Parts: sequence; structure tokens; C-alpha cells
Amino acid sequence: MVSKKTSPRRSRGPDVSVVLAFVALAAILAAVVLGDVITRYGATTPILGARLQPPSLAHFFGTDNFARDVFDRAIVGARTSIIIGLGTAIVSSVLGGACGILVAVWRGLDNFVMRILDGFIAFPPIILAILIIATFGGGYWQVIFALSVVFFPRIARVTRGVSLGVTSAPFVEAVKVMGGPRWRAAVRHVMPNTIGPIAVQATYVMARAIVIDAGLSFLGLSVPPPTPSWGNMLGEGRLYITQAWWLTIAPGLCIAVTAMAVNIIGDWLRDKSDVITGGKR
Amino acid sequence: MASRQNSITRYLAYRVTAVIPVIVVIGLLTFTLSRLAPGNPIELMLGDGASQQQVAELEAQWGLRGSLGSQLWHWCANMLHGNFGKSIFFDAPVGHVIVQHIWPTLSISGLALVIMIAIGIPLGLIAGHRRDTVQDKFLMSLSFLGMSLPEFWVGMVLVLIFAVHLGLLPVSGYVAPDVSLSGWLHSILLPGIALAVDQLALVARIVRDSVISTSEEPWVTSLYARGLKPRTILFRHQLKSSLVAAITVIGNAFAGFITAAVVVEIVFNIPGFGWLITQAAQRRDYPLLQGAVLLAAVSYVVVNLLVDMLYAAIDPRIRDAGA
Repeated sequence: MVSKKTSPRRSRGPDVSVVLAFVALAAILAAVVLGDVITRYGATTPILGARLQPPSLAHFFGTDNFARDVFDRAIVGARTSIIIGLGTAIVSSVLGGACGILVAVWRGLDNFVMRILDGFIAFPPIILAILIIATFGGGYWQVIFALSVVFFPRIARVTRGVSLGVTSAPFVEAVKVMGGPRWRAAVRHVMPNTIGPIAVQATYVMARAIVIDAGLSFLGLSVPPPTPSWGNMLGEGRLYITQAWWLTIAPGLCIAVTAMAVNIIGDWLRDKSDVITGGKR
Repeated sequence: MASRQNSITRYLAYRVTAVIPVIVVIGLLTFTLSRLAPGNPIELMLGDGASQQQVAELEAQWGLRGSLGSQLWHWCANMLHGNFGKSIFFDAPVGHVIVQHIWPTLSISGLALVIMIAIGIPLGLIAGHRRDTVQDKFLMSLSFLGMSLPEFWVGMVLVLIFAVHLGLLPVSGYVAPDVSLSGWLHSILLPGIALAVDQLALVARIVRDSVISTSEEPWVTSLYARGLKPRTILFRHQLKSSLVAAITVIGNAFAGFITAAVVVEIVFNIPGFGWLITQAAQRRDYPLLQGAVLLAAVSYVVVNLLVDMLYAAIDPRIRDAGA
């Protein structure tokens, strides 16, 4: 997704943005794990006489129309985004990776499987997700399933490309010549070489899944409302956009920071694996 | 000349036939998903007080009787005739409802396309030309930001700044151009910018990469050797080859705009295609949802086919590789 070519002359010291991205991601993961310890008021408890208050020391992100603390809701909402982002990244990597390796090793399947995946990719991402969610309902598992259907063909394409490169390498040809079974070539030789590129794609998928899920929750088509999520907080905040700017800014910043941190880490991973594979991808 | 014509024809034939299996998969996937949906569409259409005969008539009409195979046959026949069924919520033919709601989406996407090209390409040229300078790093960080932000949130922030705080533009709503031209422009400006941000960032990055890679090529070096001004080389010559790279992004931009429009239209309360899909999903209006999804996917394939053809017409290397 993001391609950043830099001249070979440029030295690669530790980048400030990469460090910041890791710090941000660590903070978000801390919020996911320690959510109940950090929150002071609770994500769903109304605070008496504190409706629509602007940010202050008592309420870092202000309060919403139901007098709930927006900071606490954002902390608990991190869970939804991270679970769906990670879940989608894992499921689509496993599925996409398996498909990609399969068609690269058993070449007879290639045309058939890849044309089917082309059909999947032809759906604009959010629209396929909406169709699946309208069919199976909203909830953690359904949303992860829907987003994985959207993203696994994209990972399969990349994995196929990498695997094809590996299968034509002399050491894999040697396995064939020696009469080794194809599955052994697939598992022992092709798979380990695809893990790097799949990990890079998985981070991009995670960032995109978080952003798309935010859109789906905004529309009320993701994890249903009593559970706070950054997307449904924005959806509720839109109704008060003329009175309470913090209801729009706070959850949006959470989404933006998370997506950006994950994207930066993805770029960093890619640059690292570029060094290992000698700049070839 | 004859062989050139020949290679174009062969390339076109190859690309067009490659589209057929993709469309078949799109159709099968939509059919399967719409059949997996809970609840019988006929009951949804008629409500509770329907007689057996009414149900039977509609089932026959929509091909919901018989084996799954014959149902699929009926469904395909209906789709190919442009017969997408009747929207439950709007109580009108699906095709008709979609056509009614397509113009607002085309308006904001068209504006977004203009913004994307008018701003993205110059930014990419500047960043690529001044590679690794402060300007380049600033522009590329900005582009990174643009690609990570959810478009609908960009829209909400624009509303906060330009509508709520400065009061320059309306908070939401859509005005048709035949009602008021200036009202139309006012109503599509913010959503158009929101849609453009992500794709603009991508175009800038691709043009930058293209400028960087061409500046190392012999033909650019030779232009420098002939004493042409760097500005002329950049805007006359390197721009041309970056445009070829940028064209591929336009096909993707189409999918990007539709995806972004789904949520952006809700933010701005614009009754467009994205708004329609959301309504259909929220109200479980399966015939409408199915028709809209099919249309979105098929038009994505067609747009990409057109982009590929344009690409082949411009760059002879592509059609030779494809044929």
C-alpha cells in the first residue's frame, strides 16, 4: 500500500517516527489490557450533572450527551478496535497465506483460484463487508469474518508472488529433483520465506481493518452500541457536532493515531525485510 | 502500423475475456450471500398478512421456487435483464431507486477526482524533484497522514472548522444543481475534499516515486546534458511518464471513492449511493442491497478495464506484454 523509495545513500538510523509509533502502540495495548484499572468513572456510567462538558482535568476528553466520561469510553473502545484489527490481520494472513502458497506449489490450481479471488477483490472493501454483515449480523466474530473475506485475497496475491519466486529457486528445484513430496517443499521451504512479506501485509491490513471497522461502527453496522467503540462514539458525536467538538475530535484522534502507528510499523518492517532479502520484494 | 493495430486488438480481447470469470464470481458471491440472509425476502416484501396465493405468485416471479440450480438460473436471467427486483423500503424497482440516488455520489466523486489530480500530481512532482529535502519529507509525512486518516472523520473535522466554527459552508445536506448551482457547489465542496484526501495522498506518492525513478534514467540525463532547464524537464518530460503511473491509481480511486462515500454521505446527510447502501443494510432491504452491491462491483471491474485499455493505448510496453 505505502511505498516509500529512498536513495541507497541515505543512512538508516533509528527513525523518530518509528519509536513514536511503538510508544503509541504500547500505550494503546496498555489501554486494552489495563482498561478497567485506568478508567475512573466507567465507560457506561452517567455522571450526575456532567452532561456535554468540555475537556478538563476531571474529564480529559470531556463528557457526552449521556454524561459519560469520553476518555474512559475511548479507553474501553480501544478494545473493540484492537480486537477487530488484530483478529482480521491474523485470520486473513492465515487464509491468504495458505491460498497463496497452495497455488504457487500446485500450479494447476493457480488460474482457477486466482480468478475467484479477483472476483472478491472487485468488491469495494466496505461494501462487501456491509453485505456480509447484513447477512450474518454484527458482532466481533461476524465483523472479523467480514473483514477477513475482504482482505485475505489481497494477502493471497502477495504471498503467491513471493512463493512463485521461491519455488523457482534452485534449492526448491532440488527438492523436486530428489523426488521429495510437494507438501514438504511447501511447508519446509516456501512457507518460511513468505512469513516476512505476510507480516508486512498483515500490519497494513490491521490498519485498514481498524479504519473500516470505525466506519462500520459509525453506521451502526459493527459491534452493537452498549459496547463503546471509537466508531460508534463518532456516530453519537455527530448529532452534537455543533455543540460539542470534543465528541468528534477525541475518538477520531484515537483512530488516526492507531492507524498511523500501525502503518509506520508496517513500513519499518518492510524496510527491515528489504535489507534481509537484499532489497528484493 | 498494421502490427501495432494487431497487438492492440489482441490485448483488448485478452483483457475483455479476463473480465468474464470475475463477473461470474461477483454474481455467484452476491447470490450466495443474499440467499444466506435470515428471513424469507417474500415475507419481508409482503408483510405478515399475505395470502398463500400472493406468496406463490411472487415466488414464481422472483424465481424462488424449485431447486437451488433453477433458482440461480432465474436469478441470472433477471440480473442480465436489468431486473433487480423491488426495493422493500422504497417500494419501487431497485434500478430506478439506484439511478435516483447516483447523482449526488457522482457529483462528490467527480469533484474529488478533480481535486486529486489538480493537487496530488503537482505535490508529487515537487516532492520527487526535491527528494530528501525538508519539503519532500514534510509533503510525504502529510501524505502518510492522509492515507491513515478515516475519510469520514476528515469530513467531520472539515464540518467543525468550515461550517460550525467559521460558518462558511452548510453543515450537511445536498442541493441538486438544477435547483441552485451555487448551492450545489457549496454542498459538495466539503464531502468532495473528504473523499479526495486519501487518494490524493496516494497519487502524490506514486508521482513522486515515478519522478525519482525516471530522474536516474539515461533519457533524462541526456536532456540535462542538452542544457534544458530542470523545470522544463520536470514539467514537460518527467510529468508525462508520471501521468502514465498516475492513471493506474484512477481505477483504484473509483473503489476508494465508493468506499469512502458510504460513510462520508452519512456524515453530510447526502442521499447518494453510499447512503442508499447503508439504508438498505440497516433496514434489511435485501433486493436493494443486492442490486447496489452488484452494480458497485461490476462498475469497478468495468472502470478498471477502461483504465487498463487507456494504459495500453498510452504505453506500448503494456500491450506487448499482455498479448
